[in-house]
Amino acid sequence: MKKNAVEWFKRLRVTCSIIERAIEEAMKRGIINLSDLDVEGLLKDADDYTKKVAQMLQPSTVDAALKPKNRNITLAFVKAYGEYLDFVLDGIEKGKKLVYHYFESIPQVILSMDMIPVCVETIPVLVAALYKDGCEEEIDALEAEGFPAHLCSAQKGFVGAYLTEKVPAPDYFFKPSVPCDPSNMLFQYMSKITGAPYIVFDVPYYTNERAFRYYKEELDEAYRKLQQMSGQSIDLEKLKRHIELTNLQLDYIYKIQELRKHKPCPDPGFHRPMDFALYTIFGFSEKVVEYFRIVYEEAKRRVEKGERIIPEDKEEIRTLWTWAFQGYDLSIYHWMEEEHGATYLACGLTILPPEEIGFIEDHDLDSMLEGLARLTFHYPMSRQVTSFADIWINDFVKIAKSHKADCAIFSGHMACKHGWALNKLLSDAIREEAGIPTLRFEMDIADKRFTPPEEVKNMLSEFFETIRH
Amino acid sequence: MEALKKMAPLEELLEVKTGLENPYVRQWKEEGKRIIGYICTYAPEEIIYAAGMLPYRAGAQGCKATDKADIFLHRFNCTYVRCLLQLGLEGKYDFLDGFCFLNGCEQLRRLYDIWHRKVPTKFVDMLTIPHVISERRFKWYLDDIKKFVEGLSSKFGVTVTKEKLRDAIKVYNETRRLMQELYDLRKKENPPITGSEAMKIAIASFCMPKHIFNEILRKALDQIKEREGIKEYRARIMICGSYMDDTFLIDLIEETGGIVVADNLCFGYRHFEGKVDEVGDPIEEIARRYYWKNPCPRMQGEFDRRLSETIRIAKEAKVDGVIFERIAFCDNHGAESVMEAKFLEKEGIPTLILEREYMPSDRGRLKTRIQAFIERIERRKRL
Repeated sequence: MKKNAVEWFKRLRVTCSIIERAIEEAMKRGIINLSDLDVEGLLKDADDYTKKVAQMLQPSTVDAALKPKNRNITLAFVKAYGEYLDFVLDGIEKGKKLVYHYFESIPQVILSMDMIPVCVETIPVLVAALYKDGCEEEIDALEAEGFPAHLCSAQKGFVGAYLTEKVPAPDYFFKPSVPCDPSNMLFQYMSKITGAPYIVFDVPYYTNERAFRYYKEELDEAYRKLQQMSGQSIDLEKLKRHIELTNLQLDYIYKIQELRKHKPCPDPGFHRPMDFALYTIFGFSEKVVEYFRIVYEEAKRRVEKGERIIPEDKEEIRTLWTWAFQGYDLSIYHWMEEEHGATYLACGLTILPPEEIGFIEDHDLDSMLEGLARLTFHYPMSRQVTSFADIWINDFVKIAKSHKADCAIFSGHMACKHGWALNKLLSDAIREEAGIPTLRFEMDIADKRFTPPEEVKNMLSEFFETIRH
Repeated sequence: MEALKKMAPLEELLEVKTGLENPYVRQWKEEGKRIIGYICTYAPEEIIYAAGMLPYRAGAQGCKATDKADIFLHRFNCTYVRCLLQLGLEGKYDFLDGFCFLNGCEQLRRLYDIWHRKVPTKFVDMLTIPHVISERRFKWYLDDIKKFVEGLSSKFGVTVTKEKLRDAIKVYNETRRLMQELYDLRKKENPPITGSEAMKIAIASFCMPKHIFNEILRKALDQIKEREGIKEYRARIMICGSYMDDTFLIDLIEETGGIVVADNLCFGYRHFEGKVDEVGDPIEEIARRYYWKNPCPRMQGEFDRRLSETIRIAKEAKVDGVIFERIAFCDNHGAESVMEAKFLEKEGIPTLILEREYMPSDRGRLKTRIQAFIERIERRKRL
């Protein structure tokens, strides 16, 4: 596969610019609806490719991004992610080594080795969220090879993008051995068809100290292997800088998590998928930190000034998403707030427990690797999904209580068999211990064909009606 | 028991039933001895046997509906796991004194979480095995096995001595030797045994004491060797894929004119290949054999080894085609089947991938596809 197969990265980069311009224009003109924005005028000087990409965008997502409560943060997001995409495109152009990694294998060490980390799962989810046709062509391309539909669209989309020449072959794959069978199988398949080595580190089934020591040793060994294979070593100063940024990012994330305990919740749900995307480039740059700073500052201001993210006439329904968010129509979170006064407190793809992770020390290489290992060990999916059901259940019962949730929503990605096998135990525990009901529905995180947005809205509407009464 | 004793050894193995309908299981219970269920081929049976208990591989044959299990599980979970939980919730596994779960796949590992909360069982344990094979990681599995031994010992007040372990190793190695002999007979141009019969013998091996099984199989092999080989068949088939503990699919293949002469299933070849070293520390050697054996697709970075093993078995058995069966929503075999099939086709070995449910069903569709596959093989032979 050609190294210049970079269509997805390029398209996403152009998209970041379009959204940036749209928000800036909307802010300048006091516009809050996409329908009031002169898109043609905005793009009159743009090249044909940019115009084509603009046509592909999901209007509902862009519309939600223009809302006053969302736009500063979306702007910070597109600047941060746009900068990262420039880094990826520039690195590929310069022939730097490309590492495709699983989303919990965060990139600080890879960055410090002067390689280009790309999270396999983030890209299809963003493509699904941003474009009318999502990553459906790419999913179909992979399924046309005979792979079952019940594998994860976050990997199916990416492998399909490789098959349809929208992403290049990497130099390495880097992945933990858990948490799920679909990702394990499709990473191995990608490795087989691209010929790029698959570096896998084993993750034990427990979360105690014995397990952590094993995990740390595994991660160290995987980094050693990556250095040996690539001939590139960890630059300590670079790593220290990424750790510094990681700690700043963590500090804001912990504070934001605390702020979401306030009633009404001061942080819009539209941001959770963006949080997820920026977790996968944890510690990448100052702009990533800036995104979380703005999320924090805005939420803090709302708490201090008593500002609401839901209409004044709506009573708040505080929702706890006990598994994933649906990733193909991000406007739903804005719709929930506007139509139902339903806020989004937390979800299984974005919670980080400060009491387990803390901050990363940077005395020397080992202390940095130790801190990073602790972060990924307790990372979303890694912590709850890898091990016994008790961890997932206890974590969410605790959050339901601490955040005073009114209800839970198990938005179950169809590929997560482990999640579906736990959904009843989890819902029962949340009902019995936190006294709140759970709505459970099926969806595919990156493929709207599975449960179309209108169907999700109908289910949520009916559920919120029952909560109100 | 008496009725079975009157049967010829081969017929006796072919008639063995599961659960309490199985006279060996019933007798074992009547003698006041304990039975420990397990589900995954990475569970070290010898340990349970050395503890004086009967290791019983818990299938879900006979399960017709999953209404009770579906309260806890979902349609995205495979029907094997749902059926197994259904039988547990219906009390069909009340005869078990304990259950050894494993993190074999995402769905089986979650079964532990539900089982230990919802199905009253005296002893429920979770044995964990790394997803990557290397000497360093082996220690984790070995330590977990040692903890499992401690758990069994403290729960039931039994002592697992080295001597008992060595005896168990001998018995189980003999099973492996005998099963290999059976499988070698299947490689003949005119196999003296059908695939369906071989599968029934494998099923019997999982639900009766191995020392008795060995004794009967030894005699049954003599019987089989005296048989005239099967000459009339249209295609020699190898079967690979998801968990399979009945003969439904093999029967369909053989009704259609094929003969199943080999497999790479965890209920077949993968379970008995590779012996335990009888010289070293017994627990360590048992663990070593289970950990290093022909790997399941859940083991990471082992695709090339699995593929070459499939090719080797296919070639040795001179198969005309390989059928991959995958239970719907089984991710490991769902993907593995496609990956292996691609490379087998490149090797000139025709393949067919069949998606199925665990319970026998969808007979018409499956038979049509098998028929078409055998026709493809025949056309190929004519060229």
